[in-house]
Amino acid sequence: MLYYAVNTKEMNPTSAEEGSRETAFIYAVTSAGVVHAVTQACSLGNLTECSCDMERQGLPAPDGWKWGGCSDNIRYGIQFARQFVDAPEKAAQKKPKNVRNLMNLHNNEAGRKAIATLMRMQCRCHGVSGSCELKTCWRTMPTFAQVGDYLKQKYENAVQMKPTKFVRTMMQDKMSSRELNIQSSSMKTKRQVPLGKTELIHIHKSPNYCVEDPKKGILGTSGRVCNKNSTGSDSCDLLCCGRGYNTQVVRHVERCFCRFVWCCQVKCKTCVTMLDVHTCK
Amino acid sequence: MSSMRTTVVFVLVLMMVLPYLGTAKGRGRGSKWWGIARAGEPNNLVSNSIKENSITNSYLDPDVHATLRRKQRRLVRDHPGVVVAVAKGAKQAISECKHQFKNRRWNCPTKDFHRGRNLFGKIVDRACRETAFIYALMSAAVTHSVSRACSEGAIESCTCDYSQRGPSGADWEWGGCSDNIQFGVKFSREFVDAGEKGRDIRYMMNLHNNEAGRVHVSTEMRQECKCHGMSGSCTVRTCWMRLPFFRVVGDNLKDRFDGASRVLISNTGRTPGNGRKKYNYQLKPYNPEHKAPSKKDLVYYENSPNFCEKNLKLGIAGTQGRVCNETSIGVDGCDLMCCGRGYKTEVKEVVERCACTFHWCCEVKCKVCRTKKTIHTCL
Repeated sequence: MLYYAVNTKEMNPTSAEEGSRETAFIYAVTSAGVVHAVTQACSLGNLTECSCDMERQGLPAPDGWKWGGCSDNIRYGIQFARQFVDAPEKAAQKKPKNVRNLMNLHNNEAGRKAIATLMRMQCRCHGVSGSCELKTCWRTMPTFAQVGDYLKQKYENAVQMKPTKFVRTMMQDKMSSRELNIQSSSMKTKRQVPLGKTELIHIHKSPNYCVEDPKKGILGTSGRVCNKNSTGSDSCDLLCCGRGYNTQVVRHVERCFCRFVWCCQVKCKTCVTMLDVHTCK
Repeated sequence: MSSMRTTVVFVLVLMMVLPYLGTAKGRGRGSKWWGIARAGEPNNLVSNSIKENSITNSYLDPDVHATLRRKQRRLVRDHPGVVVAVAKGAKQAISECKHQFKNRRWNCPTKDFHRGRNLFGKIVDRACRETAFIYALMSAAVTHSVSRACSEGAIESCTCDYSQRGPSGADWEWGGCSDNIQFGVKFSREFVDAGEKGRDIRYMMNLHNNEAGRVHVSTEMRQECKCHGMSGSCTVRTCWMRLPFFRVVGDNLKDRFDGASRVLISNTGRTPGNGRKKYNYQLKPYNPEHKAPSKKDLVYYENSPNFCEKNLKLGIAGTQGRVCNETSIGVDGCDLMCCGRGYKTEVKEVVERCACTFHWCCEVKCKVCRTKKTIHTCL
């Protein structure tokens, strides 16, 4: 999943050493992953500690439908993840003013909040031949791909904080549930807008990931597949950092024109297409 | 007579030996004519060509004379007026190169011309992608400029291309003056490739890239039409072939620069059996899994230097002092441009004329604006 969301960027998910934008994303998406998996396990009945969220079960709703079914128990998932994922950070936080821990804690929470905000309602009609005379609704989690897309968006707009100011304000707030009124100091624009709990924050600038650097765990972009026709971050221009690209002709064999033959066979033709694949020099 | 024969033999031997001497110095020899771009203004060249026709028939400006090989001098004599087109083309190529590479570490630096020195500096001695691009662009520019000059009537030995006479479309017919791409390509082959004689891989690389430049011009030819009906209606329409804008050629070649293919240096040389044809060979890719270079692809066989630090041996100035874009993640961004050395930020006050108005008659009055610009330069 992590790869799915970031695979167009130059980054490969390797290093979380520095407090960069990528680190922020990794923490958020990992913590979201725990919430997602635990909550799903609850709903499936795989865990003894929890089950479906029955809180609203049977409560009437204004529009003539009823709460029912198995709502995903997001509260349990978040609570569990908060204890489990944040544990090492909280232990380390006892040392004063550790900026990285504060950053991690914030991003972990942002990942969990991402799932909470993407929760949606699903309904089913039970009337005669599917008519909606009788309707049951329940809360369900988004697919993890949706969570990834959402967090990717947050990654693109991640806010860089100046470490000193960050510590001061975070310490004052003591990670309270109130919105954090932090001045982010991304050098130029003094941001006065309150920083939401769903925003990702980072303290270091990202390296460019272009050239291999084993010390930092950066693999470099050499050999990565790039898109010649794109202008975005997956384009050969940006991904290859100006080194240019190689072209390979790949023989792509697939089954096509499949049809059903009575009885019971599916007959297909094989189609061969030659594709140009571009990889960075 | 016999002494001449010995000189010819000597020259021949020299030419066969030179490429194998191992020094990089002679590798860019075929490119000496590029200096024509710096040899005087077009006006000088025009007057020269007139002199050449009327009086001695062999007179060339000494600066131009010095840049050309014997065959090229003969070509210039045979096609009066062509030297202006070549010089114009070379100039166009230089400015196009600078435009295409303005945001990159290598920004196509050129030197003021000195006799025998290479216009683009020592980078041409290295068989890297940048060199491939320069050769292709130069050759394309000559093709472009000569073809255009033909249809403009600036060259005495050629004229418009009237060969497009065959079947035309339903509501239009061929006519007018097509740009003479055939002459342009033919001339460029003779003129540009004049110096590329030999069997070594470097010559083949140059020949391939020169040809690629020409192909990029000739395949981008476009049809242009005009309507001649009553008050401009399209009952009668004539069409002719027009050269592409040179910017289009530059853009396409820049694309090929990014996807240039590294070729294998093999001992076999040209493919057997086709020894007589100059352009009939297939270069093999360095990595056998990669696609073989097509006619339009640029080829090279040595890695580019990174252009970060100053390197006198290769004539690279380095990126120190270059202006970079702080917000870009591309090659023009400060991170990549400055090669991780960091950059300094200055706020400069720029004085510009602004809010200009026209006053009757005939004055333009402007205000002076002072704006602050932030400029980042590499350390």
